[in-house]
Amino acid sequence: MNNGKRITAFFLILLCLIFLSSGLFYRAAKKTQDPSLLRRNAVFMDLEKEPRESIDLLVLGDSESYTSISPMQVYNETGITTYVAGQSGQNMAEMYHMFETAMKTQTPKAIMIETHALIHSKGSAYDLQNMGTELAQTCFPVFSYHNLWKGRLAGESARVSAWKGFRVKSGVRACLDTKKYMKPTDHIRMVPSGNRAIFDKILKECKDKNIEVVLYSAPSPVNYSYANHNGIALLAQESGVPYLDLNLETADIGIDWLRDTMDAGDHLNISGAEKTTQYLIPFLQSLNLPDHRGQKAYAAWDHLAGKYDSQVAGMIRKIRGSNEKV
Amino acid sequence: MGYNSFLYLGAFLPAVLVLYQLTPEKYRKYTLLAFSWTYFFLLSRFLVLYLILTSVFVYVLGLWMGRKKEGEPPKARKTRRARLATFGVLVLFGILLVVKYSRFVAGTINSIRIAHAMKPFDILKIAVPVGISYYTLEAAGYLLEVKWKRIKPERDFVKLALFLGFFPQTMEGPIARYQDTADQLVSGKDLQSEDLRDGSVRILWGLFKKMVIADRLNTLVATFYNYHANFSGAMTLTAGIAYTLQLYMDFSGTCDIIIGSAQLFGICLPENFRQPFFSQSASEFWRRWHISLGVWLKTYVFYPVSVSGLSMRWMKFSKERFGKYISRVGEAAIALFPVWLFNGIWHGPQWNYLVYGMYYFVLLLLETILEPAKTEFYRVLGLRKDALFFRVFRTVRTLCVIVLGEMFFRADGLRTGLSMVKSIFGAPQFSMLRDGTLLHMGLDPGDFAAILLGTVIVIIYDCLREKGIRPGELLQNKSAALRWSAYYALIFAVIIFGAYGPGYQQVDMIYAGF
Repeated sequence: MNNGKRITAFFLILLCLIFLSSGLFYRAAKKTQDPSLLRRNAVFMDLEKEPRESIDLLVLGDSESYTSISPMQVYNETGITTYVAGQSGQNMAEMYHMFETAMKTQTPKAIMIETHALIHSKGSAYDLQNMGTELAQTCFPVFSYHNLWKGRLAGESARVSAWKGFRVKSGVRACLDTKKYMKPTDHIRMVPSGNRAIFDKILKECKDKNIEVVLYSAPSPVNYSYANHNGIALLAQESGVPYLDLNLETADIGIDWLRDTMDAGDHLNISGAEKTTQYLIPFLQSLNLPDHRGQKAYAAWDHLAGKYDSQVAGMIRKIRGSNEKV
Repeated sequence: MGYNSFLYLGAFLPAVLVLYQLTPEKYRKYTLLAFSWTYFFLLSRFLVLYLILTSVFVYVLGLWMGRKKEGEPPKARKTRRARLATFGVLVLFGILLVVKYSRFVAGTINSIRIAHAMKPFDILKIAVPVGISYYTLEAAGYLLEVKWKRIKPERDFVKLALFLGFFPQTMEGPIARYQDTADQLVSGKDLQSEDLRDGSVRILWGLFKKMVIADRLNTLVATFYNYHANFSGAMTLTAGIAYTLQLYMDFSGTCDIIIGSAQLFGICLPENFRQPFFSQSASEFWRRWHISLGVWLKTYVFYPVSVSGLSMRWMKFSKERFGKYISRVGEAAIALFPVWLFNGIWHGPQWNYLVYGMYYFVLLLLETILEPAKTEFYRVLGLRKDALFFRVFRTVRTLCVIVLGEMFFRADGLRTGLSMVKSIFGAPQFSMLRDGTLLHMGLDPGDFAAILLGTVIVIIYDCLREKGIRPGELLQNKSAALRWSAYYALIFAVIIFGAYGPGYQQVDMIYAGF
């Protein structure tokens, strides 16, 4: 064999081995429900386990998404089935992967994108790196689930979120410095071009499938400024999609930055999320999404929603009644 | 885009290889330079101008040093060359000082002013270009080589620019000497299958060390150093050992990737490590650890100081007054002090780096001071210096010295380093090693198993290298099936056991920060 043929054979075998191992690791990952092994990727598996065509509203984004919109509360109030497919630090490449994963089994009628992932970037080389990593992980899941060897493969433990992607955070750490928060300015922080390109791709695919896209910014003094607002508003205007910047509405929402945040203004806790979700209800109703409450096929949602209420009510009362860490 | 990143290994490096091979032979050096500067631009954006301007400055100065003026006497020419070299070195280190150390100096002055109830200065924030500590040393080395007439001033700008900015060396060295690498960089020879194979295996081996061991250990080390006050002396020692191991696996692993990347193009870069943990003394350790920095310091600081007027005058004076022994110790002190001061400062603008340098200065000086006593000890007792027991003892003693040094090196400030050492000797509390605290440092039993297994593999490899055996060459004599199986095993070891993805932080290359 000459060198060229030998090198080609070597890489072909390697590709086959990676492909085979990917299949094995993916199957193992689907079997396990152990979030400590899957970590950020657990939400992919949870999303795939949802019954086909059962989600009407999909929420994408980083940790700002899964700490701001509560699907169970939305269901209780409107009967809309919502899933928050958010990951901590989700970048746009990961968001696209999540979107593709959701589209395999669901056709939501609307998608809400939390905008922090859109505005956040560590530079074009980093974005390019994220895209490459994401592509490799999508094609070869062994790169995503390689840590499964660490054991407990067949363990049947809790999902990363029991509440359709939403994470109940009961801690309180007051945000004391909100002086500069959303101070009006003409400065525009543009959405980085790499992020914009991925957003445009998601938008196009949504338009093709007749899915409504909505941008929203969760209240967060740490992550948002008026310059961010200007940049995202410009993107929304150019793309023709609605944009809800909840950072401008915190007074109407009733956010108390001394109690409604778990980490000094970075993320909302359950109390802040409850207020934010409640504020969004009229908007969600205006999207004319179906009400599934009481339907036989959605009995599991009815059951879960009832359970959710009883679980979080006490936590919210405790937070609102005291300034101490719960 | 670090050397262990997907973007570098999966896209950038293959793209350069393909385009290099497609370029006609005589233009290949331009391709390499274009990609080298592009790589630098991707890392540091417009700070690439520092590198380009340094290349131009050194190029022009080198030519100026070599210019022959008509009728100029040789002595005057020598003086002119020396003055220009001094000017060049001062400018290069001046830039490095301003860029890298001005904040530290201004911060120190400000703390003094604050302590004396004076208003602090506003401190200007200057962006530091990646790799400036490395290419500055190479540039200064080039000028000194020209001054000493060991090399002729380079007339080919591309060759000199490539020497200073060759992309695999940009972030962590190794710090090469001009005569060792420059010609290879512009040879433009075709890619060879042996080079591609050996370079790829070297890269994989580096990835194994970095991703399986070093990046995994980072979680434990970072957790400890962030909350060191909560841990006992025994945990401090464990974290010190873990950091020493992490640093070795990270730096030597990255160097393997760098040397492997250059090898793909048929370029042989100098080695930076030679099984450092087998050293039997601190001085031997520094001949095996970060070798290229050691060689640079020896060539351009130690030797010039040793033959300087000050050193010569001391030798003449002390030999007559105090005898040979004191004279030798004094000479060693004069030459070693600037070397270790430079070594400490080079690592960065922090007091603990300075202490780290001085720590080795004291140790190496002690070696010189105690040398006659040690020789006498073995002679009087009739013991063999190279007996197994003494070799093991010296190796373990050197390991302790290394771990203690690295603890200071990693500590967040001098005071922290001192309090850690104090806790080791004051309150060891070995119970913390058994009560499950280790399992609350971000690593689970699987992680510890991977670290242990990976380290054993590296130790076996290093033992073979120490015996002069090259495992890679051994493999070449085996059947293709066995060779390919070994390569696939290495690839899958990195893919499956690498500490990346969910649950692990992307860890920057440690020495890229210096």
